[in-house]
Amino acid sequence: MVKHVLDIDPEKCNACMRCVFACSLARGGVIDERQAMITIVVEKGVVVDIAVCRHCEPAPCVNVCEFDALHVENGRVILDQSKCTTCKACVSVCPFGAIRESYGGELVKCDLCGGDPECVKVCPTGAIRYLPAHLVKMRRVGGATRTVYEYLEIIGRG
Amino acid sequence: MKTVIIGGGIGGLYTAYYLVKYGYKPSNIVLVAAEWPPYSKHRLAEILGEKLSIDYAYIGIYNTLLDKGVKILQDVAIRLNISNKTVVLRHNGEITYDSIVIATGGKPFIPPLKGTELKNVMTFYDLEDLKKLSKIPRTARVAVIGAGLVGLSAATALNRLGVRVTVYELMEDILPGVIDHPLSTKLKKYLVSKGIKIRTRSRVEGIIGGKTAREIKVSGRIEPVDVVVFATGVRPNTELVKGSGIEMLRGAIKIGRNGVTSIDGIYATGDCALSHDLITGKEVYRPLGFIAAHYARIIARNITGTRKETRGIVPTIYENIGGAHVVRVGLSLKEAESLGLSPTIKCEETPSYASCTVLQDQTPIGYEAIGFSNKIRNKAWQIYYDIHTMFS
Repeated sequence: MVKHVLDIDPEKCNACMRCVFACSLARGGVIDERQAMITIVVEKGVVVDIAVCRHCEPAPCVNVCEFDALHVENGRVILDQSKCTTCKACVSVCPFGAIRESYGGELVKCDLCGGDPECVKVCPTGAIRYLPAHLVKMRRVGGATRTVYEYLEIIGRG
Repeated sequence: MKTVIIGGGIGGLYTAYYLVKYGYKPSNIVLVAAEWPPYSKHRLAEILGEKLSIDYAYIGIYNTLLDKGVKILQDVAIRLNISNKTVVLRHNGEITYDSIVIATGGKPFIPPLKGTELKNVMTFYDLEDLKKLSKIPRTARVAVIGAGLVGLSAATALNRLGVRVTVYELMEDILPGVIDHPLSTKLKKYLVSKGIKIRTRSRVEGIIGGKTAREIKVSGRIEPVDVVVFATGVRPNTELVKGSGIEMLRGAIKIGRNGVTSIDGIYATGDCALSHDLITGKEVYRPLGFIAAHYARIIARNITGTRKETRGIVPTIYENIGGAHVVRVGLSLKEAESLGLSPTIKCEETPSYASCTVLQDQTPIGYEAIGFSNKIRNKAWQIYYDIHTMFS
């Protein structure tokens, strides 16, 4: 099976919040930004980012977790709440700002809805797409010389 | 073979977890915990600020350990007999061990001042503190002593509840152990704008009152107060091993890179013990949960027969301080200096973040950042990997 991940294009996002609400509905059955695993990052009225897990390989969050609470399952980075102590080391090293604190310090991150992400279905502009990982890797963030993935691969080999 | 773990905090809990994971027979593990079920101190401020149930604080894996058959004794170890490999518990008497893991944690440090025994003087350390702080009226004036992560988390949580908070910090900067002056200044300005009073370079000299504290004396001034919260750091809780012959340094248990103390078969992890800094290789006292878990894993490997040593710790810290994202990986300028390095610092500002990179001979050894929007993304991960590539 080809690994699929979310491909994000903030320039296409109009901050309609459908993805955020669909995500929190899928996760907790309620419409509540704080329970969503995806965040639209707005600065001075402009969407600058959509913060959501890209399921990195190797994944800094998995490397840094000392509690065995993060692991890779079918190419997806999964957070096991029962082992998490909210030390937030993973938050500090996430390249995408994609792990967030929900109520009572519970950390939340995208699990790709088990392979059928709700956010993609409701996005009206194509700002979030679900694509084979090798296509997503071509995209560079903010004029950087390397993508995060390329950087991670270099380090992973070292 | 029987392993006894003393302490039900992060270090003890995760030693038991990893032992089971690596194939150790659960029924041969005895976990002695003073408090049960185990909970995470990282969640106390959130629970306080959002008026949530303390159930949010409990760590889920204790159920797994119980299901697997790990023996849990809600008890306290009072004496260690190294020569005959036994430990005496307050209620369950003497038990034997083949390996023992000291994970007795830390205890909050309160400076030796007049009036700290008064009724409304407390710490922000455990569930009891959380319960007490949850009950204070909105009209209360709270003095938080110490502007570290714990002090500022408590202050911002109380501020959210509408309580009037003043934070007193002895040093020039807030979060002195986490970030350096340029970023600390920005955080201070932000917190003041949120209504939290912050007094740096303020030495608390005593607390005045009859049965309860009414005033606090700070750098010669006397100010009215209803509740005093000490957040002045953590010290190793090592009563059990004092005088046992186990080697200590500055009150903490010395351990090797395999988690073993100076005596074979006796391991230690967590806030009662020292840890190794990856960059300098030095032994340091860093009472942080993920470090306890790091050594827990190493110890479990060694007990189950796989020799394993740590390369050392790179601190990875994130905290949301009243809406400000504070990140730090590697060493801060101050910590690097205290470890004998001669670092420099280079700071920059983007619309979402102010950040500083700490360098030693042009090599990054640390990164710290502070942001005030809903953007958490920053460069910490890059420096984290650079440090590992360079120093491992």
